[in-house]
Amino acid sequence: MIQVDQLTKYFGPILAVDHISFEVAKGEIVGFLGLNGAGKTTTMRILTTYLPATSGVAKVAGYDVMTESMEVRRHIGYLPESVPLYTEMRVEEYLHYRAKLKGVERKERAKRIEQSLERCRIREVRRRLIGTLSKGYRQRVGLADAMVHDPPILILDEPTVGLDPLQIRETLNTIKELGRQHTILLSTHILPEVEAVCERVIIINRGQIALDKKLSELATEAAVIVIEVRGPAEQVVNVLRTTDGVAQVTPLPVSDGVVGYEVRTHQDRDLREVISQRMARNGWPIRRLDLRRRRLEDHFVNVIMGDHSPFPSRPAARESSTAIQAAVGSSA
Amino acid sequence: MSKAITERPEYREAAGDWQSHETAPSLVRVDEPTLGRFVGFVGLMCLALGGTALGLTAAGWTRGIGPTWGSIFSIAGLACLLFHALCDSDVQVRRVYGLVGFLWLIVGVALTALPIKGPAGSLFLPYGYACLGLALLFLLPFARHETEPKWHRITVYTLGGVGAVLAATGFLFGSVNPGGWFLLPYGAAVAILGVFYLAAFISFTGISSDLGYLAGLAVGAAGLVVFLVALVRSLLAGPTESYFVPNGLVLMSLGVVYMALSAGLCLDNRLVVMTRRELATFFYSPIAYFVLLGLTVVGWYFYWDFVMELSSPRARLVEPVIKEYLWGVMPIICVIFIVPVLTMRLLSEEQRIGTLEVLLTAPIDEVSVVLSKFLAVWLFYLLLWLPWGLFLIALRVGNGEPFEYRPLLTFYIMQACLGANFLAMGLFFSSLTRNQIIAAVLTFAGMVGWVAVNFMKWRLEQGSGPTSETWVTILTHVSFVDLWWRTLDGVLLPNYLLFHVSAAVFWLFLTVKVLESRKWR
Repeated sequence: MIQVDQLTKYFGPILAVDHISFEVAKGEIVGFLGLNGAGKTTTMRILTTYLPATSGVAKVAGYDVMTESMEVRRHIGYLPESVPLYTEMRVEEYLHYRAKLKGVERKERAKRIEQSLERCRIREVRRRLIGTLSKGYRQRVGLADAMVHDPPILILDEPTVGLDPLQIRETLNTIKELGRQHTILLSTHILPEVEAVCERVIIINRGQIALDKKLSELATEAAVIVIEVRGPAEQVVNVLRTTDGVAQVTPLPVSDGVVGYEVRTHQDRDLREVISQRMARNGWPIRRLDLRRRRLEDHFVNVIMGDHSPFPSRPAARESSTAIQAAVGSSA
Repeated sequence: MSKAITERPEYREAAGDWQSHETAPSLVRVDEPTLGRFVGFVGLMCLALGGTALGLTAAGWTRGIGPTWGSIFSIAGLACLLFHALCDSDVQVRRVYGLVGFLWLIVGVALTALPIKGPAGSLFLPYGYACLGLALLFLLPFARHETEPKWHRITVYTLGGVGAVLAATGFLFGSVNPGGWFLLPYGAAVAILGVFYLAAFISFTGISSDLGYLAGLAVGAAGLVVFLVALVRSLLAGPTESYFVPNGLVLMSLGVVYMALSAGLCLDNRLVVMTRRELATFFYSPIAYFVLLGLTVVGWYFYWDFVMELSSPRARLVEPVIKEYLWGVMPIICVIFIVPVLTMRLLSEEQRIGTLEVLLTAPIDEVSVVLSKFLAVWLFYLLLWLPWGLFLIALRVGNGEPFEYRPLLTFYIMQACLGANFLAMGLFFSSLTRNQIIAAVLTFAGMVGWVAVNFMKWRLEQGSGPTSETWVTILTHVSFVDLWWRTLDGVLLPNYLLFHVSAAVFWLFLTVKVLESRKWR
């Protein structure tokens, strides 16, 4: 549904987007990650035809964003980061106005508006002035506006900024629900959100695509075995290296006679049982042996920092992400 | 419009069970309409007092409050009652007001149809007409508050039926009537009241329903037919008999009003939708009301001054007399201040809060964005000058003497062209910045520039030589003060007007380019 090929955007001398290429297939929910100023919003503005690209081609729903911008606009729903709304209008009045602008049929209109009010959970405030709504409710009105004409593609720029935890959960649920019928590209810098709803992640750094992978691939790839053993360091390394299937062994700093290693394996083989057997045969007691997968945050930091030290450990962040994922999973 | 949306159970189920029940963000306290009830009570007292006074006067009792205060009390009482009807939705209260509305309707029809004090219809103006108007005012809050579908439906259909009858009567008899005495005042009055009835009917039905939509289209079609018939008859009328004035003109204006109502309510054209929103935005903010009030007060003062002058014994009654009224330094100063106030917000606000981004990522091009804003502010500007013309109706009716009306027409055409130029300039300045104040200051400077042209011209006129003469000719074309003065003689100056219109087009073109410039900056 979205094809981007060698897209480049200069703002004067500033290179905001640097020859990026990616594709989003129908029905995918793609998370667009990056630091502030990495080029996320610029890319989204190009995709929504608000800004033209300096060079490169972008196609949305099969239409070129430069030459067929009206067709593109008919097929997208866009929620800009700042959620601009007319504060002097009432919620329902605003949605009516937007539905008319977006060419929703007269007979369909009431039904469509009702559905977006329902989905975004703003039926209770439908008669309120937008100016009197809190940030979270405005965000939801913006989302309702983005989907009021039932577009096949939704482009959401940081849809959960400024929401309370419950609203974040509900918004993510809504997005997940929408993902069944819509193609969604959403940007954020809150990684657990991406893990919770997205199927694929694109990390953009300094205008370039640094990573473009499915989350399922990320989860399986490059599992690492962490082992802590009480024994002579050199011999332990030797034993590990000679184990069939081991690719690389990296020492970890561990104290008082215990040595620690991270073991990478070929083709993601889980060698924990083999390793424990060999350690036991040598009479070295094992204090720890587990399989650690790289989380999105590790990838993110890795990619952004260009840091090759394997796993910066951030237990706190990891726990919170797991919690959110669990919460979303249980309610879904 | 919002009435069209009712909660339908199937949409609620469609969302599935993945969400818990939605709760409102805050608790809403249901207030007793204490103030409304108090005002209603006071209104009832006033109405009783005023009504008694009027009744006694009618019965020949001359002492007491007298008819003037009686009318004032009655009108104040009715206003208070309407306020109460609007804010109190209690079932007993709203039913009583609904009943009152239907009673007014019956009384109005009876006064019109029954031969009381003369032939049928002799009491229609003003009594029957006033009753019909009051019926509408009382039925509106009733239809709004009534929750029982049967009564709501009956009321709304009554509004529609009465509106259709009024419109048909006004237009048919107004067009067919051979002597031409019906249209003014009866036909026009009836047709204008009909517009309000029909508008109420369509907005209660909602254009999402087929009935409301078709009714809206029918209103537009009726307006179009009336307009075309009046136009053809005006063109075909011989030189001796003048159909165009006043009947043709009145019918054409009414046709335009009906078409405008239909277009405003029914058309889904994006330009119309956006223009409607822009126009509505003016009425959301107090500034528009201040401007409207201010210009009306100035107009009223000028009118009063003018009438005083006319009634003084040494008045020079030289046609066009209304030149005295429509010309002055004050209206020009008003224009200089009004234009920046009206235009400063238009695009700068949109850029400041970022709504331009959602607007231009919807399927709308820059031209319609600019045009809709321009049309809205231009229509509002013309509306500002409407009271000035309406005051003259009082002169015509009160004085009974006809006066030269053509300067009024040229005055409005001149205002339309000048306004287009100035407002388009303001719109352009507003597109340049995100700051309303900067936009206003730039526009004000521009307006001062237009006035300065005139001073330059006066300066040059005192000099001599071929160069200054050329400049005087050029500046005369540019100067709007000159144009204002000269059109009040009742002449149209097409080349001067065209200059302002083309300037407006030029400003609009620049504005579109400014909006597009984000693409090549």
